[in-house]
Amino acid sequence: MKTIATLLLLIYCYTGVYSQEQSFIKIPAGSYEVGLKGSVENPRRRITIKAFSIAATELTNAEFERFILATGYQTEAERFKDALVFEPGLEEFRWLDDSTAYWRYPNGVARGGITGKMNHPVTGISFTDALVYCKWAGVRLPTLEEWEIAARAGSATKYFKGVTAESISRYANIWQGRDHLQADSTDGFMYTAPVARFQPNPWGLYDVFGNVFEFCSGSLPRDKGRRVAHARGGSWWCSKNACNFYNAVDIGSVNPHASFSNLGFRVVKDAEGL
Amino acid sequence: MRIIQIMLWITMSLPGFGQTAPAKNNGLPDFRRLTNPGFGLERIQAFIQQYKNSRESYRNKPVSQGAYDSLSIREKFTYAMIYPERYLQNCARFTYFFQRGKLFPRLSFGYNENTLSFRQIQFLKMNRDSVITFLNEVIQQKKSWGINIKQAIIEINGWEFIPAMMAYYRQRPDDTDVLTTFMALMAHDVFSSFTQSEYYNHLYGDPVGYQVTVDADKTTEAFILTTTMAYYTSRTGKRSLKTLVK
Repeated sequence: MKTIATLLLLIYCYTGVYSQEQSFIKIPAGSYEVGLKGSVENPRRRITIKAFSIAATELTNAEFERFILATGYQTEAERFKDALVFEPGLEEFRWLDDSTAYWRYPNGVARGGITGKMNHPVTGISFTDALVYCKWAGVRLPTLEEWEIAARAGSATKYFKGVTAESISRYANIWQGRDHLQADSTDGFMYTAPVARFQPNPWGLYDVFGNVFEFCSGSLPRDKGRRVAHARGGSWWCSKNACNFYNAVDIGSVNPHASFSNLGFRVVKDAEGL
Repeated sequence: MRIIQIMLWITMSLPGFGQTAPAKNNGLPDFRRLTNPGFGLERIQAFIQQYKNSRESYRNKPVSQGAYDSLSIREKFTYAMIYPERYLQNCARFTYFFQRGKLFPRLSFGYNENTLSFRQIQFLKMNRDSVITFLNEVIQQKKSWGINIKQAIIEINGWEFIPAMMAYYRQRPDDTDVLTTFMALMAHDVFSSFTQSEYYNHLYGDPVGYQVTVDADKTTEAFILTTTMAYYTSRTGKRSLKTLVK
């Protein structure tokens, strides 16, 4: 109990603002439990990590726009016209090709752009695009394990403390409909929500579950040497009946060049000397 | 006579009746991989490679619409079977919908990080009769039917393949994707003997679950096989009736 209190105090003390907009949470070096007993792909184990600082929120459209304006970078969806978009009425796990879709129009021009949504997480970008952003901004993606440690915030379960399968809608922008044939805006949002609109985890991270899947670095045995991107935490698309990945155990896989309107990221900085 | 024929079919289809299952391995079983059709395979592979070379490594490289349109129907079939060209979303758990001894309500949704695109699905559906012919050619040549073969059967609602799948299942009782395919066909057609069953309620009922399973035990298997044959009989009956009306 004392250890937990000290840890929370440390995290509180080290919380700082590293950029004009993004708040970072510092995670101290140490030994942490990750995984879940019985999970084949993410078994329970104890790992030791160096200290790092992780963004309290997912990267927003506003932050991504600054990068675009500064560099003139064209995302993969813009260059290859191969983004995947969603609209209600699709069968489960089916997405639409939309050559007009990219980060400014994550679900295609016909479904509206990000005007008035600059505080929403950026989507319609690929893992490769996220890496380019990170290089420009002097940050990096969290590793699969760093993401999990930060998302769990000390919990030994698949959710952080306070969350259950029943209460998760207070903490996560997810799809609450039975299927995706009908639109669902039960929580006020069909697609993304502004970052930090839902309640944070005990360490102050918002939207670790739901809103957008967050790219992480690292590979898994199941990749079998192929280059595969992994994203975690579930998204606005995820429902309890299809893709209930809004937890700290499941790890997704996607082509590193794929751009979906439910894929985004949060960034990490190394925190040497903590 | 028909009933005896059906019972004989089912008995012959039960695992253990025919040949033994191939040895298990630690990776994905062969029936979860893609089965290559023979027709135009080398040409289509070269055709795909040409497009792959023009783009970055690992990127999906659907051929241009013009190039796609230049393919014959047979070549488009081969293309669809060996090259699912759309990205699959992060959480589709495509390869993970496999657990020995368990039956899922649906097949996996693709292969690696890819799945069939809209134009590929449309092609299969719009050319159903030709696709049935092509699929028949493939399955007669192959001892193992990959995930793409069964996915194509589901996409075209290919109930005509039920006898062939029964025979295949007798040879490959470890390929429980066949049972999933049967259930998917019956669910699609809302075949009441199936949709009124406990199995249907559990696997497809409300709430819909993509990770629910039933044990692939003898009882379940016998139910699925029996119900599938009844479904097949009902479909052939309907077709005979349509023929008579015409």
